[in-house]
Amino acid sequence: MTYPVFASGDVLNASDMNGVGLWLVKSQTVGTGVGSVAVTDAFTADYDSYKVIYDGGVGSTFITIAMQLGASTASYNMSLPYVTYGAAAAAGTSVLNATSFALMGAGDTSYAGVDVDVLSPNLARFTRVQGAYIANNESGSYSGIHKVATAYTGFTLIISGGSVTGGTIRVYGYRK
Amino acid sequence: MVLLLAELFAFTDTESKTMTEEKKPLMIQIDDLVREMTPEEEAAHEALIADSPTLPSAE
Repeated sequence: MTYPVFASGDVLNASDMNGVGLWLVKSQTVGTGVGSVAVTDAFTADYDSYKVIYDGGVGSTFITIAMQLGASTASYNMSLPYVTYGAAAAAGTSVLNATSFALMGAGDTSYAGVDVDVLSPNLARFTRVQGAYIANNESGSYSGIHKVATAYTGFTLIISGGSVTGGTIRVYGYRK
Repeated sequence: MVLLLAELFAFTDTESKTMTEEKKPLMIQIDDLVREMTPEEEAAHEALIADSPTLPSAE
């Protein structure tokens, strides 16, 4: 068997399977007109780091998407250097000790999305996030840290400015 | 006839209030369950988004 391309009927050798780097942990379909989506049982001891992707849905209008870990509503910090399309210089924004990871994603009536890596959410360590912020008029590089050394099993995507409809939130675990 | 039309288009205070668009309740989804937010959940939601910065796309 030639890794990583498998043929029908191939034996799943441990060495090959243990080489798979990314596993789909949870897939959550998003409902209609929701202002927040809680995804439970997404983070376990099986993985230290995760990729969270929300795509395929739309916003009710221009919306931004924040993330909350478990029920924690404090100590979120993020920075977002961004460039407005067509501008020559970058701008930026950030939050300090905020109630959530604000501006993690964005959406409009034609799209809605989040694409971030989440590091150590299920460990009693500070959780860090990094990804891309992509919106109608600007895009940028997203990163942040939640300064609470607690393990979480789930998260909530919080919609600001409207609601989202449809699409799927997928959580992938990076193999240790 | 004129009087009837006048009565038809004359709304009382109460009626005019009911004519205004009511705010839609926010919906919350927990895994596959979707329902309306309780007033407490809606207040918590508003508090969570209150400190979100604004970028050009929102303007």
